Amino acid sequence: MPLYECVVLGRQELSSTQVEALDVAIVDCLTTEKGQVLKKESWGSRQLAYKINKNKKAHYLYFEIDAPSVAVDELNRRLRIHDDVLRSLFVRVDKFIEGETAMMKNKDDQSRRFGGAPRAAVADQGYRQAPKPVTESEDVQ
Amino acid sequence: MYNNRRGRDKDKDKDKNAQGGAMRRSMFRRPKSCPFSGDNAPVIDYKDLPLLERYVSERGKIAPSRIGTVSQKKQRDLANAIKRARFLGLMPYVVQ
Repeated sequence: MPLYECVVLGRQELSSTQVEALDVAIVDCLTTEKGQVLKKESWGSRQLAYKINKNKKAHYLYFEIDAPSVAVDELNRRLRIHDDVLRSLFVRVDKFIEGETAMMKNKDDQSRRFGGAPRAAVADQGYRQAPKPVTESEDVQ
Repeated sequence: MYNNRRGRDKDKDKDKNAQGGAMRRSMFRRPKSCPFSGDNAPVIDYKDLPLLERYVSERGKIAPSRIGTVSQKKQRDLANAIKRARFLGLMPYVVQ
């Protein structure tokens, strides 16, 4: 079965239990169609780069899925109808990147402003440098 | 920023012997190498924001491949990744 990455954005007003319910609904939908969720990540509530349906923030859920295309089509259809979901993206991949995703590794970066000073500082170091390993500091939620 | 160079680079091949020729020869040309090719190159991924942000101007525009010295193939992947990140609200379409 093909592999997919899936990102779902939940409305900003959702409580943590509602996010959990959404999570369960997604997994349920896939398993009933003989799909499998290989990995789950919650990126938490993140600031959006621009407003989406008057939301400034969104709850991000990330899934790595091994499922037939029928299952993914069905899930996609349901997510588009779902009131609590702002947006969803499915990407078919040949293989998953191992370990936790870049989003989890760079978690404490999210307070940064787009186009602000930190970005310019990075640009000065040239384009060829690999991203710096992020040191662990306090979580911005 | 990179906008200043645009006009000059565009007619690079067309008019080698035209007005800008002498100046261009004196310019230092760095050998090009793609940062995403070769061993232990970073993987282009729409989730890797610090990586993508380096190939985006302060205005939020995708930098041309000659600025990032990214190969044609990888530039397509990169542009795709940036567009995915934009769709998910991870990166801006425009910075006002």
